[in-house]
Amino acid sequence: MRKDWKKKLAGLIGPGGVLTSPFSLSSYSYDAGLDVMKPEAVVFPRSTEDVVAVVKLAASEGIPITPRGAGTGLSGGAVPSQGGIVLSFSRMNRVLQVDWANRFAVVQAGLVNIELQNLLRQKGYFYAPDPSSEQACTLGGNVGENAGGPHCFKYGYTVNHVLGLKLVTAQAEVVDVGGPCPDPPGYDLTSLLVGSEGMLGLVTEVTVRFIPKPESARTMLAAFTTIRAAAAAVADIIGAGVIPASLEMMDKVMIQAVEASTQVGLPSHAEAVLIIEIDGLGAGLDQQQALVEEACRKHGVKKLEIARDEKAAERLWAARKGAGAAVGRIAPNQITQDGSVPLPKLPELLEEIAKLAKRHNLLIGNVMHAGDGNLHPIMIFDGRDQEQVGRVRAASWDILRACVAAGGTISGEHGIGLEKKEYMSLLFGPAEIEAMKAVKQALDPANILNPGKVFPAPVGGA
Amino acid sequence: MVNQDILAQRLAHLLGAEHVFSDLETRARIKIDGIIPGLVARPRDASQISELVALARELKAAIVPKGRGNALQLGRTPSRVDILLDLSLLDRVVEHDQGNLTITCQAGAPLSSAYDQVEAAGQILPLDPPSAPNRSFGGVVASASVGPSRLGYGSLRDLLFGVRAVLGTGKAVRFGGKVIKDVAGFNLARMFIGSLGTLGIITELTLRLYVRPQVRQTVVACFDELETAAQALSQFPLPCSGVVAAEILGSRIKLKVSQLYNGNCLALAFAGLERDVQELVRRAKDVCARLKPREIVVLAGEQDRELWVAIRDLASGYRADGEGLLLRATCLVSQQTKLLMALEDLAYEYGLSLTIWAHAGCGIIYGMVEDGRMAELIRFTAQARSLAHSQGGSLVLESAPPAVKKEICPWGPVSPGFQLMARIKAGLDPSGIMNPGRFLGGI
Repeated sequence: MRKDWKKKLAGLIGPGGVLTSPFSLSSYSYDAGLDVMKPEAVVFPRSTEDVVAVVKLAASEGIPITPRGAGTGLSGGAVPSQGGIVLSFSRMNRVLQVDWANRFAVVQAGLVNIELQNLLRQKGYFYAPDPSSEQACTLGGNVGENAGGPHCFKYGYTVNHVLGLKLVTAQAEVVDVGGPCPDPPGYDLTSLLVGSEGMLGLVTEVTVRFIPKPESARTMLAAFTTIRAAAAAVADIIGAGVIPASLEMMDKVMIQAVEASTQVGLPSHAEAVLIIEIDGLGAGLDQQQALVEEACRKHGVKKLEIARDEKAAERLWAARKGAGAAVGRIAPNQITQDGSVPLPKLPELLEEIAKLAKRHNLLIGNVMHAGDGNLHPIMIFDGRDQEQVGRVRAASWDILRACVAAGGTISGEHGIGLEKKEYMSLLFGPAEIEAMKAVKQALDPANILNPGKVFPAPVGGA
Repeated sequence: MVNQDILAQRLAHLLGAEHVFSDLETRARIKIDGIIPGLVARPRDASQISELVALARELKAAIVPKGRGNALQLGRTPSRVDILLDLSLLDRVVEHDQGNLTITCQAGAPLSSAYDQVEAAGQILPLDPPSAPNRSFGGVVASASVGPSRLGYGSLRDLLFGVRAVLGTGKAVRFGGKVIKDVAGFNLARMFIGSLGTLGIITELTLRLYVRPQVRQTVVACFDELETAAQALSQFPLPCSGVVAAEILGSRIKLKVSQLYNGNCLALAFAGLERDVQELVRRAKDVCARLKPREIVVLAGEQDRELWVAIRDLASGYRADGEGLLLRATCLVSQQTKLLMALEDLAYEYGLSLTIWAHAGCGIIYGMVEDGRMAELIRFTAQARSLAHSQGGSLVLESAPPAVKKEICPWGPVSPGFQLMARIKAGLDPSGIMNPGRFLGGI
């Protein structure tokens, strides 16, 4: 019976909707993380009904389904770790409804983030979560991972902007949860599904809220001679009552890498730079800027630059968002770690990471969403050298342990997937894992939706 | 049936006899829709709660949690109240992390215990449900109770970073933590918002704080018609940083704060840096002035504070032992004027005196009916609910006489996701002992 299912799948979705050639299966065997596993088929539904049909087949045959947006995830969420079907949402990429008066949009899961941004921008609105991969990543993927981006400190991350979802359950039911009206009675299933990594249901449509673009915005660059000074400036900016739209930090390794690749004029002698974006009413922007400047000066800022115009601001942002690409010039491989700590712990965490880099003999650069304590140490290495890979894994473990010890978490915005499932025990005890498994069991008793993710392997096998 | 004597004995052994109350006088003080609890238990900490839940599972005793008792009238009449779990001993502020802008409190702590401490550090806890100072943290989260600040500072989903709880399995768990972004595993912390103790007992939680704004001012404009107040509000592109609350006060609302505000008012609160607030106040006055208000007032300092306390506590005017209704209707923001006016008309039709107001930037409408005949209240609720549904929203009776709740579910019909909710509930509370019968669909 099992060998017939691929034919059945093609029958359900139509020609061109299913890939099974070895070459195409390889293309869908990885995401932006390290893990690789080939699926047995890749299917491209066009509608929620198509997804229902696929789930029905998979459920009856016991075939795992791994949902996939654009495969930009960094934790292996889209890797079919147990084979089976990769369900790609790339053909479900339409905007279904935009309600300008009530400021929400209903979109299919495969819509690319930037396309939503572009649509909204035309009328003076924006959708706040804008991960660095916004050019490629999809809204459905953003929901699966609860994606962030540099604007979370002021505007929140995906869960703060998703109002409702249409999902296909593991039993192939179509269910609408949440919706554009506030606080529907019952449990907040929307908030549970956001960040559930496709393990509790397949989201086919997303209702997001969007917000008016601030009247004006300004981007600033501040360079410091120590990381502690930069972190202290961050604390003082926030303490002064300014809520910057974005508050990003890069350390020396990253400054030099980015400067070598983009030549935007980052001060390459600095130990840390902040990229600060303030926004709001035109009337108050000068006052915001003055408070930011004061906080930076108090901590000995060496260079303070205000982007003269939008172009200049875009260049600074290109430097930040191009950090990953810049690192590619140094070594063939990189892993961006993703931990989060309470804000006051940021400087000591960075010092700890510097120590760990030495101990593990690794080059580690740091970019971070400093406003919300979300660190992204980037480990730069050569993946062809297994010994180096081992050191990278050991350093990852140590960094995440340090984040947890500081009262933080093992993932701020990238998810657990395959990459971090063994790290879950740093943060959770058996009771929490058991509760999460109970929820998984309640919604997907046959374990066909993205199996093998998030939960650590039971101690002693089994 | 639960053997109350055995239950009382074993609980006394667990918590100490002085923390278990079986006498009628104590029990009768805390009735839930007229039901007198079998006993009242007062645990000291999460580990005692954990043992208590395990015991309740063994003896099949139903547990109803209670914070400060403000939301006991919320929800359906419980099917059983074997143990009323009084959380008043879990009353500590565990940690105020100033630099991180978070506060961690035990579930039974009143909001008042955090307000002062937070304020002394130049910060605010932007949580202002009705009767706020005397509400418990756990109760506010479990009943998803919000106030006017929701517009500017977000819903509980935005403010709640972490939860410690004892699940219906008896296991003590911790989900989320104290950082803004946390995507490790399923986020079960947010599932406790509005769950009314049906998944487990919240024992501790962590909330986001904000830096106290430099300046805060409110523009109040009163009009002849409710519609005009709404029209004034529609000229503000919300949400907009700096606009922290926007309330529309219906025709029957009279607020006395240094002067009398007599119905059909729009109250807009602005907070932030001085120049932003000045600019927003100027714009608000311009917009309102063009619509010919009866008056426009700008309030700051103590008067601003008093006004918002009065608005926050409008719902506290409802007498929980009374014969009326307190309802919360939601709809799309663009439809709320229509719904407000339709509800006022409907009440008029039924001869009921409905006091109505709205967290107008959010699409949340509150209505309070002081009293009425049972049959009318039921028919009014049913019709009001279908009005809300026709605008895509919902209507919840936050408070109503048990006789009304018997005829009409306070939550309304179950939503499409209900079967998923029921499965999750069964997973986390396999014995069905956590506040049974109170929640949506009789969960």
